[in-house]
Amino acid sequence: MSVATVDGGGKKVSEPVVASQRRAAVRGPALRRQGGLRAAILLLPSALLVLLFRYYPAVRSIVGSFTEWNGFSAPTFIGLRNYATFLDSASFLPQLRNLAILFGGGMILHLVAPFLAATAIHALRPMRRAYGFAKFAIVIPMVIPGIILINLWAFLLNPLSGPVDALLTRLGLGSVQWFSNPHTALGGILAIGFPWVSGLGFLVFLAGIQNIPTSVIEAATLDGARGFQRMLHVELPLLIPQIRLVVILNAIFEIQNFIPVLLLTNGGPGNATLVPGLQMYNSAFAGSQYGYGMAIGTLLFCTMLTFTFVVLKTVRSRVEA
Amino acid sequence: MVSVPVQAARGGGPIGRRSSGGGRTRLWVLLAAVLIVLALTYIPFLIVLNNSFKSSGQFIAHPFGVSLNLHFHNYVTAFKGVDEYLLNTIIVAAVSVIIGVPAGALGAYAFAKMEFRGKGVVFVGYLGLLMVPWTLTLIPLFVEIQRYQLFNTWWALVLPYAAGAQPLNLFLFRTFFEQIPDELYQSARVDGCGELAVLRRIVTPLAMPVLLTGAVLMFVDAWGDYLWPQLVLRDNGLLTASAGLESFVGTFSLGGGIGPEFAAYVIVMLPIMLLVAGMMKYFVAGTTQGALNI
Repeated sequence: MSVATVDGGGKKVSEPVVASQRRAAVRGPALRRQGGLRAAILLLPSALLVLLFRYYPAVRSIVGSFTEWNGFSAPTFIGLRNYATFLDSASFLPQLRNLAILFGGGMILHLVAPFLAATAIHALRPMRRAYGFAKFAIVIPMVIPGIILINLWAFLLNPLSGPVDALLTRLGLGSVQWFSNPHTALGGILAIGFPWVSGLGFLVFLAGIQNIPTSVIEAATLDGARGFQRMLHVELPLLIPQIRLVVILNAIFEIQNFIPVLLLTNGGPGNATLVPGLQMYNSAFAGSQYGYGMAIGTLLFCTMLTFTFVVLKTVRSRVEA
Repeated sequence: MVSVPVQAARGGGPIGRRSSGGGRTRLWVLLAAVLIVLALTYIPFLIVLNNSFKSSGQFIAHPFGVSLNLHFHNYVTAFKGVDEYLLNTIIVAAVSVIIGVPAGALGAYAFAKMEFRGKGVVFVGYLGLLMVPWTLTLIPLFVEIQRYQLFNTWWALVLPYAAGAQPLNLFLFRTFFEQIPDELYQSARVDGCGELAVLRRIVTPLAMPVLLTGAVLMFVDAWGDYLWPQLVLRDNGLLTASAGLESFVGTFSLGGGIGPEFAAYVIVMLPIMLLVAGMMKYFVAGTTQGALNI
């Protein structure tokens, strides 16, 4: 850190009184009042952006969820009717089921695969070149646009021309109509990104593992804990904060991520892949039911908030408690 | 103290040698496993690359085979189809950065180095943003964009992108500014520099790496955004990378343009992969820190 050299610790020791006096002068009450205005001016551009394009639409969405609105004429207040309509709709239970499958499946895949990858690559550290290469190679695919991944997997799983089906056929397992069969469509969507190692979770876990003091690992190794045993009883409990974080981030992602569904099946066949996010999108932008869409959006928001709160309150390690 | 006897055992005793030899074997096994997983991750992209050089006839005859008769013309066709979108993305992302990074830096400076009433409340306001999902704001933001007459203009992308980057930029920059010692600011102030001059002449050069981190993350986001651009831009010629790519791919009938289609995937993903490869350190630091801020 080049910054640290400027600090020149010696100066602090030799003139502690002067330094503290100077600091007191700068942070004094007179300047604090002046500073208020200056801070407000500095914060203005950022705050304006955030208020106009993040907070306003968020509040607008919650308020609008209690109205019937086509996006053009004045909205009419209808209380909780949008919510009631959504919860009563014939497709609500299928949507809930589909979201649960995508949420549960996605959570396991995007939690376990990056965790194992981070543990394995961290253990490679004695081979410095291999460690650097593996880390680099796993991070790069993280920035490939989602649309390319979706199209790519639509191609890979295509029953006519895709390699996955060619492989299955050669193995004698027969061809699978991944996205037009209601029983396999969700599985096809979950398959996107196989083997799922390259994601935000990888970086979070790797940073967490690197923070575990080597003395802890050495002590555990001396006590006879090795490999999988050590991972289960030593590393895993120490990584609870990271696991909690990745669970929350994954949850926020999975609950909202309807774009693969939109592009691959648009909810079909029938309602086999319909999820609330897609229902929200289609209600507003295909059906002009803006109020209804915002009610679904608000429900998703409340779900995420509740989930996050519950995870923060319940998932704690012995170390933290 | 403890390490001394352990080291001795490792150096001399037969047990130590055996365990370190076993460790070496285990490392190789581990490396093999990691390489297999990496291969699985990259095989789909090798398939893309392979298909991007095939003619339709080659693809139909040998969908999985590798042919040495490479059709580079696919890349010419694809580039003509998506070059405009790439340029659009660069402009949109650059303008978003020009607005979003300085805005975040100014705010972060206020948080890091100034005392003001309501500091805690405003900070919680930024923290709370992390809990505002994009699905909640999608519909009203669309209506808002239309009302401000921004529909079908790049401002419809730039302003929400700059706003969306604020929490992360603010947290990233604030952490950095706090590490710059106060003495540095004070000596500049004593020399008669105003707050803005301090920011420009002293903080900005020091903070370049962290400002760059914010910029890289904004580029990655702009590159990958599909839903919002195709929602707020009507003119095909205004679209950015992801939405434009989808529009280009959609112009081919089934199987007809498989070569150019895959070439277009390569052309669109390569620049952002190279950018992040070149700025790996910044990308990793920003992503990790950003996640840890929740």
